[in-house]
Amino acid sequence: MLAHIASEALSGLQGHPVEVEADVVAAAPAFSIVGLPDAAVQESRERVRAAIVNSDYSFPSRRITVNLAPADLRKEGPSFDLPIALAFLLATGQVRNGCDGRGPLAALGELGLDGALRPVAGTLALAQSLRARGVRGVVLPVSSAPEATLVPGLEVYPARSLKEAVAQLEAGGGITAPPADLRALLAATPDVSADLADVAGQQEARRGVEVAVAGSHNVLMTGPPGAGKTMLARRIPGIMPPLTPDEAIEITRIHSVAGLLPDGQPLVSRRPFRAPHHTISSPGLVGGGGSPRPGEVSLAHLGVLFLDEFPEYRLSALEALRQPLEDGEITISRRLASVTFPARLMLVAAMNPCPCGYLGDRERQCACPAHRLRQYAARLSGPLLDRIDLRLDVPRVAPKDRRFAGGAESSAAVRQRVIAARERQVARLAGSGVYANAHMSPRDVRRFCPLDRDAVALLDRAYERLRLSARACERVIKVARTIADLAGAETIALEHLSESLTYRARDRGER
Amino acid sequence: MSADGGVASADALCVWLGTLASWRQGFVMRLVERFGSVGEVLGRPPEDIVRHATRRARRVAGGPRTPGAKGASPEAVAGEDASDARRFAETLAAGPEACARAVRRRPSGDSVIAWCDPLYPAQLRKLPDPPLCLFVRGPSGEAVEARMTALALVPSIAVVGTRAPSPYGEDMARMLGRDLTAAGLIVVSGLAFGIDAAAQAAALEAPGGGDRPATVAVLGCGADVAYPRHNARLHAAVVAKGLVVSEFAWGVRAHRWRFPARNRVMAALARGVVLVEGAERSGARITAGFAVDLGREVFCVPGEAGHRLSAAPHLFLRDGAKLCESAADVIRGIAAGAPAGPDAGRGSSPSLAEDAVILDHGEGAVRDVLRALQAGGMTVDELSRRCGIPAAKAAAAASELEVEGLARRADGGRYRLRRR
Repeated sequence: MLAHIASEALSGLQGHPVEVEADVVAAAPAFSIVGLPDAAVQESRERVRAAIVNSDYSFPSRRITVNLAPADLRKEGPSFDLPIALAFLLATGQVRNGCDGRGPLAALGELGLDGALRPVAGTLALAQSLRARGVRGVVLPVSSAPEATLVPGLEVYPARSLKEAVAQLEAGGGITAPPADLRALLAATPDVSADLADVAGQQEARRGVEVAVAGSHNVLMTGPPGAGKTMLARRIPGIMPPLTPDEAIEITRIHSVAGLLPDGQPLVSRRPFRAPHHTISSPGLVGGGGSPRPGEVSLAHLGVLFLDEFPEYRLSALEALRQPLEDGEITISRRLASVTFPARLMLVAAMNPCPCGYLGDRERQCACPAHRLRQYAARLSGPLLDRIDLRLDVPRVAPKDRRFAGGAESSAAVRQRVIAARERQVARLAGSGVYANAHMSPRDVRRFCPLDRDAVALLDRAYERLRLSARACERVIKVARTIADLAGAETIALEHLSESLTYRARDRGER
Repeated sequence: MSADGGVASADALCVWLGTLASWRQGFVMRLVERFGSVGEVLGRPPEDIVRHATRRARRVAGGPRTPGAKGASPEAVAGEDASDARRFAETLAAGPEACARAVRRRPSGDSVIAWCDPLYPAQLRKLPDPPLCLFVRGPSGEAVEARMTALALVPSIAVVGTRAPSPYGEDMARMLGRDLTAAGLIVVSGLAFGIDAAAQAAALEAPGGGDRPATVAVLGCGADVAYPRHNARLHAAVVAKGLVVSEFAWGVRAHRWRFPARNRVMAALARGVVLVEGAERSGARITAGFAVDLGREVFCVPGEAGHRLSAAPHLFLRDGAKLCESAADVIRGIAAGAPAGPDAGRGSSPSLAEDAVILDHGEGAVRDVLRALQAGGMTVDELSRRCGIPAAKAAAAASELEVEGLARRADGGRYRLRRR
């Protein structure tokens, strides 16, 4: 007898429809799975056999063929255990499908030998694409259910075990999980984990970070060890605008595929802050693998990617960063699949002024020989540095100066200004395909960045005196645009441009 | 042993011994100690010297290596030492005449000036262990001759300091290099990173003229070796417009012990030494120390109190060195110390009087920030506190000053006033 169950396979962030067919005939006993299964799917035979027997069903001595259609799509992972088991039980007539006439149910889930169901990575993406192709509902493990309830319109039938899954199927959908209230979930999490009020002194760096976030500019902080670069970076997500429901879903999708969702938390409700160590490989940073998985740039999507000790990263990893920084997404091509992950992130890089960390320090002598200084700076390529609009110096704050620092502003206050500045940008840039000043094209810069007379005069002098390149000029104008937005001004004035000049890149030879 | 058998000329003997000294630390000094004086050494037959030198060489080769050699791997050091030992042995075996012929067989701008040559700088003869020959590189043989003659007549000033200067130190070195040269003196330095390079690059651009070399570089490696490599272009420019001088043979690589040796030549060659910035332990301090021993004037550019790069200059200032705020101080100082040469500017040239920075500019925050910076380098945070304005405003004002060329931002994010 023949039976089938709908399921879904994951490729990148995208679900693809898979039909699980089971055929049982009276012939020499065998159990085979066809349709490009990978090793985990092959092993599914053993799990399914044990789960069926241990759930008090019988496993007849027949020839059993399971086909995962379409046959040309590679199937990976253990999430086909449940649909295979259900199709088998239907095919052997031990179970009756109760969905007749109401639209079929799909199934996802990994089985334990005792018949218990285990969660599935990428549930959100799978559920979304099930819904998109018109599937009525899905039977899946209890622990994956909250994630699936984020998809509006999809009926979610949680099950703890194979037996419960069978009950849901026989009832044609029994007990459903209530749809999640996205806004309530978002509102329930305080989105400021660390407050800017904890950062003593560092007025200039705080201001620079505010400007960077307001325009979504990438930023490079330079300062000796212990100056507070990491502390500042960790507080950046807290001054970014709160997540919209759509953004939260997008982030959750990526984190779910990577298997990074914490237990009992179906939704990523804070902006991500990713800080990979500098020994990371380039596939680890931008994504990769035989069946491509999201890398750190995608895990930092709509949040912050913090790269401490920036020049210490592998050259290949740094160069691989260029494309995602430019395009806001990363396409990974492999033999069997080419997938695209979103990567619209704010890069926050930090470095010491020199390998020993004490160049320019008043109290300690820099121990670096001159050629090492040159090598250190040369590790960062021009094209990569071109993607970084703001440079900040973060000097060490002496304890006595820390006392002077006084009450620092809280993240909430800074965030209010950032939100207002972002709103101005969104209104201005509407229709140009970008949402923040950092992403303006040269044409947008000409169109949206009017300078007043004094500012034009200053820019001309700066161009000449400071020997700015055309590209550096453009970055200075973009940042000035953001500063003007923070000030609520439509035209860029002298003070906006001159402040922007302090954040420019300085090469060591500049006089 | 001399391949020519017969008696070697004094000139060839000088070149031979000078070349040998390139690979043995304190070689000449030991010969002088053994035989009494340079004259005595040169009066000896080469066989005597060889006997003494080789005995010494064996002892050095078997003895402990000079401590240090930081940064180089033991293999590299051993390889370098072995190649030095090989070149020493080859030169020794070649004998005076053959060696002299070999080192002189060079392009026309490469000259070897022996101790007994009239072009040999008289100042160096007073050293207890003078270089027995100088390897000099210039644009052509005639130019080297003319410029060496000028070097004997015109007072020269060594400008030395740290390899990693603060912007202030670099500005001062540049100003001194330019103004001393414009005033008709010769700037001598070591072509290292930092102060040396700044002073010499400025000297090359200053107005000069005649046979006077624009600047003289004294190296701790062969005069034909551009070290540090980064300064290769500057090295070439000095060869074209000035002179590159070394007591070490052609092609000899830089090594730790050769730098103090070079510093003693630099101090001896110059009428005075200007110390711009230097840490407590630094080559610049060694140079100034030699200058004190040789009775040369030492001038120090004062730095910020307590700053680590102020350590060396302030040490000498405490011991009675002369204060140097501009080239005029140096010119006055050497004029008072000894009768100046024919070209030395008496009094100050017009450009020397106006080295003050502009103290009043702009209005509002820009003016406040400019005034605040007169108290020294400051970060934006410090400026903001001092002027009572938000950090964003202070940053904006400081960068306006930067665009106007009145201030600059240094490593560590400090703004400083710029010297003219």
